[in-house]
Amino acid sequence: MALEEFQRRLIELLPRLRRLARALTPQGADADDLVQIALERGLERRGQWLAGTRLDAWMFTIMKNAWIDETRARARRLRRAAPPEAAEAVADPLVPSLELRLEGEAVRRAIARLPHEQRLAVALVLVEGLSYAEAAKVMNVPMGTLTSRLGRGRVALMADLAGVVA
Amino acid sequence: MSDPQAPVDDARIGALVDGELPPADAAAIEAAAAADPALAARIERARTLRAAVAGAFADALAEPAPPRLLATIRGAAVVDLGEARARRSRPPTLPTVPAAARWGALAASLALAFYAGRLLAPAPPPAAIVSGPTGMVAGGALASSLGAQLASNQARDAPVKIGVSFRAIDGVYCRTFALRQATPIAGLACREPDGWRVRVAALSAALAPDGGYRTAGDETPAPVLEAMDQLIQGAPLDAAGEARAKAAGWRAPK
Repeated sequence: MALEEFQRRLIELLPRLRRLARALTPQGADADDLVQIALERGLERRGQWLAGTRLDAWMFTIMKNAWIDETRARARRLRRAAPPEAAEAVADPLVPSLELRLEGEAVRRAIARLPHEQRLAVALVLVEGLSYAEAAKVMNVPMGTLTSRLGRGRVALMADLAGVVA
Repeated sequence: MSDPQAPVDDARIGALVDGELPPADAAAIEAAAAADPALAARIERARTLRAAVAGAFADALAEPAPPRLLATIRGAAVVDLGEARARRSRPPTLPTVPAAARWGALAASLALAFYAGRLLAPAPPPAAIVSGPTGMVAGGALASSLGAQLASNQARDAPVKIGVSFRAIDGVYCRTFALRQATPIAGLACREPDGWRVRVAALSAALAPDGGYRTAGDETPAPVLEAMDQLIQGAPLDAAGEARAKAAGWRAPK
């Protein structure tokens, strides 16, 4: 595929890449940094993408790997530093109603509290709408592992959000 | 197809709302739920959760793409303004652009972006940009265009082309511009009490094969995009917003 075509498709995909990044890194400002790293890696490795296969799942895989790298590096930094403050979600001026904003913020905080593996499963299936098979492939785990992580994530979110979204 | 009498576990309810059940199984659970309010309520909660989780990040789909990320995709690696400023004081050497080199023509315009500050500094500044005691301030045609010209209604051959207008994070109005002149310069200026302060300016030209310049049309150089990306608050002004800001003299609303 010509570079221009590849770039055009990345631009099309950009809103979804940003959405996934926000679900994975609810600290707000970090999300676009993660998108940028994924874009750089995707462009570098575009020769490895098989035309005809799904570019979204391919880019999500790259983003997942970048996120895991970054999460490990952050954990190393945090072990040396003071315990972090709870992540503050950035108030979003685009959300019109206060009630909706509170709900969205509660959901984002609840997702931020999930263990990373459950958060990834929730982000790929519930946020990005991938099928179980696609999500398992992005996560590089068997389907049963994906459904188990997704199930535990869903139970934890339900418990956390009881009264907010129920 | 599963036994319709078996209790429905959470994983199956999850699979149902995720669209992962074969149609016959999904129909069986829906039928069971019609006679079982508790089951119906569990399905409803799972649907509500899925919608709430998806909705919590839906804003990302509606927002305009940040110029920084678009520049990454287009191969125009983001220029570090601090680095560009540091280079100004060094003797001129050809800048190296390792990662961007493979992007061919784009690399040339990127390289020139590094040069921009240096080119502006030693040469007499164009009358449109005046070096004041606290930095660069718009003068002449640039100052009048920034105040009066609407991007939505400007002559094709106007000496100054206005690009995007927006509110900055510190509340002031800023506008990107391009000067159509022998040495094409694009930049970003913000309306401050003492006038339009030019916060960044860069040469908006690509290097032609013979080493001379050719204008790169209306391309906005990476340093300008980067500065805009860092400054912008919310979305750029639309035509109506631009007209309102002009009517208010580009004074920051209280």
